[in-house]
Amino acid sequence: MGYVSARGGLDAIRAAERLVRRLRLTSESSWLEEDQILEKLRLLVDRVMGEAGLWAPRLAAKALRQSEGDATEAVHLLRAYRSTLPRFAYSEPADADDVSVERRIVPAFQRVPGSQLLGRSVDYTARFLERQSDDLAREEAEKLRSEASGTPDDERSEAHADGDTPQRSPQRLLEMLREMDLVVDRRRADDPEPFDITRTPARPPAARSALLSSMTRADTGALVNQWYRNILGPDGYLHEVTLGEVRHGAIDVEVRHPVTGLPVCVSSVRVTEVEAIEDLEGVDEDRTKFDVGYGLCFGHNERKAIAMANLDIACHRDAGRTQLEQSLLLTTDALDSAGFLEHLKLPHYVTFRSMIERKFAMRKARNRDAS
Amino acid sequence: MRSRPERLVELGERCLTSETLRSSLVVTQPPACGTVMVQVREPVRRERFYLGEILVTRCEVRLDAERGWAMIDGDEPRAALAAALCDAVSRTTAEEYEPLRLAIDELCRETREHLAAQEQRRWDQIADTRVKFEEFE
Amino acid sequence: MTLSALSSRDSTLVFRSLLTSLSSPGEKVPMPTHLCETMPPRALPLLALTDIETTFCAPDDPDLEAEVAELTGSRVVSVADANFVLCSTPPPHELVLHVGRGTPLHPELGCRLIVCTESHEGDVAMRLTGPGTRPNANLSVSASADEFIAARNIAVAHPPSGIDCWLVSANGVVVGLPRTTLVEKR
Repeated sequence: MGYVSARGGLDAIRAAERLVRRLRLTSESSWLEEDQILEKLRLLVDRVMGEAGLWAPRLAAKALRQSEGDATEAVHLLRAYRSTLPRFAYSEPADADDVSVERRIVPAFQRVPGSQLLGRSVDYTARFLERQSDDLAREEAEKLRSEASGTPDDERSEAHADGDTPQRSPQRLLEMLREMDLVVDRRRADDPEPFDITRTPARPPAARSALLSSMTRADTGALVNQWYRNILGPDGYLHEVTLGEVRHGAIDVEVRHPVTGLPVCVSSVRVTEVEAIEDLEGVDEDRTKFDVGYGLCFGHNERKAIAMANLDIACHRDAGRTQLEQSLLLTTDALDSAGFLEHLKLPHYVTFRSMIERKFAMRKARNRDAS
Repeated sequence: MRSRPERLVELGERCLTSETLRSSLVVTQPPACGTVMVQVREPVRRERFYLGEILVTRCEVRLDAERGWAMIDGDEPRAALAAALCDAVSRTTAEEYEPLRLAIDELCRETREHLAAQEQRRWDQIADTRVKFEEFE
Repeated sequence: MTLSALSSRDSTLVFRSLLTSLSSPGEKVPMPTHLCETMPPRALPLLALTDIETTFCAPDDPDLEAEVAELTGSRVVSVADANFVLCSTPPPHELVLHVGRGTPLHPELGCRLIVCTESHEGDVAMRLTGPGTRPNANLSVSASADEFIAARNIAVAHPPSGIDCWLVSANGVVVGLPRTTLVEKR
C-alpha cells in the first residue's frame, strides 16, 4: 500500500506562529522580566519545574513567559529542552534527613523535637482579596523595605536568641514514632538501584522508586485528584489521614569530583517533604502500629507532596488489589495526558473519512440484507 | 563551585593575566550545559529514588599536568570555565601560582561567609513564625 | 584525530541540522561549517546526541570510538545493542540487518545509523516518498551505497519497528532517511 501524502496549511501554520509571537512580544504592557516571574510568581515556577522534572529556575521563568502563563505548555517546553541536554552524572544520594528547613509543621503532634515553624504560609490567613490601590501597595512596600534595612543585624539575631533557636534539620516524627515502637519497620537491608522513569516508562507492578519518581514529577492537579478519589471517591475507603511532617527547605546536591574523588556540592534545591501517618486496621495488618507514606517534590508545593505521601502508603496497603498503582503510573503525568488530549486537535481527516466509509458500508450491507 | 558567578569570572580573568598560565592551559571540555540526576534516600524504607534533574554547566581544563574540573548550578559557561581553571590552579605547587592560590582560598572563604549570611537572613525572617505553645493547667 | 566536546550551543546546532534532515527526508542539510572545519563531520552526530545514558559503536573506526566515549561518557556496546552505530563506509548487508530495530511496542529502541559517504552524488538515482518528502524528492547514491539502501529497506519493512539513517558526506552535509521514508530505485 502506498503512502498518500497530503500537503497544505503550511502558510497558515507559519502565520499562526507569527501571530502568537507578535502579539506576545508587542503587547502594550511593559516587558515581563525573568526576575519578576521568579520572585512574584515563585510558586508557579516551582510547580512547573516539579512537573517538568528539571530544576532550572531561569529556564522555567522563560518557559512561563513564552507560554503566556500556561503551566502545562511551560512544562512541555522545559521537557523538550531537557531532552536535548546530555546527562553528565548522578548525584550522590542526598539524605532526606539533611533538608535544611524554612518551614516545618507537625500536624500530628504538638511537642516535637525541633519546633513548629510556620515559615512563609497562608494556612491560617483569611482569604480576603486585597483590593487596595497599586499606589498604596507600593507605599507599603517602600515602608517595609526601609524597616527591614533599618534593623541592625545583631539586634535581629538577638530577638530570637532565647536559648532555643529552631533546628535546621530537626529530628523527624517518624524517628520519634520508631523510638516509641509505634510504626511498622519497613527499612530495607539492601540498596537497589532506583528505577529511572525518564528512560523507561514504568508499568505495574513497579518498584517503589518508580512510583515515587512518577509522583514527584506528576501533574499537581492530577495527583490531588487521585488522592481525593482514593479517600472519598468510587474506589475509596475512608481512612484516617494524619500528617506527620510537612517541611519546605533546601537540600544540597553533591557530585563526585572526577579528580579528587570527593563529593562536591554543585547546587542546592528547594523541596517540599511530607510524612503521612496511616492508621493500620486491616485484618492482615499489625493493628498496634502505624505505617508511614512519603512525599518529596521539587520546590514549594505542599498540595503535591501531601497527596504523594498519602498515595505512597495507600498504594503499599492496596498491594495491587485495585488499579491505584496503574492509575498513578500511567495517568498522572502532565505531558502524557495533555499531549494525548491536544493531539486530538491535529487533522484526523483520514481516520475520520475511513470511519464515515465504514458507516456507509454498514448501512449498505444492512439495506442489502433488508431487501 | 557555589561562589557567585560574577566573582568566579573575575578570578578566572585574573588567572588568565598570567602569561605562563595562558601558555600551559588547554580547555579539554569547553563549558556545556547538561543535567545531573538527583538521587534521594528517603526515610521510610531507606531506599533511593530519583527526584528529578538539575541544570548544570560543566567544564574541564588541563594546566600542565593538573586536571581542573567544574560543575556549577545553572547555565553559566564563563563561571564554569573560571571554576575549572581555579580548580586546576588550586592543585598546582609552582611558586608563581601562589598569589592565585591565595586568591582562590580567599574566594572560598568569601563564598562560605556569603552562604552563611544568606542562611542567617532567611532564619531571621522566619524566626518569629516559630510557634510557642501556652499550656492551660 | 582530535575531537573535542561540543559546547551547548554547538550541540544544539548539530541537533537542529539532524532534526531538519529527518523532517525533510532526502534534503541536503549542512551541519555547522565551523565544526566541520575543525573535526571530521561524521563524529558530530555522536558528539551531539550521546551521553552517559546512551550506547554506541563505531566498529570500523576504533580511534574515533574511543575518543567519543571519553568525551561524552557514552558506553561502547555491540552493533546489535547500540542506540547509535557509525559506519565510515556504506556498511555491508549483514551489519544493517544486525542493528537493533526496536519492537512494535518500543519502536524508539530502533538504532540510529550514521553512514559516511564521499558525497551525495552518485550513479544510482533513488526516488523518495513518505511523510515530509518533497514532491519528486531524489537521492543519488554511489553503487556501494546501493547495497546499503537495499538492506535498509529490509530493516524498515515492518513498521513501527525499524532504523533511522543519516548519510553524512565528507564535507559535512547530511541527508536523513527516517524509517517512514520509502526509497525506490528510479
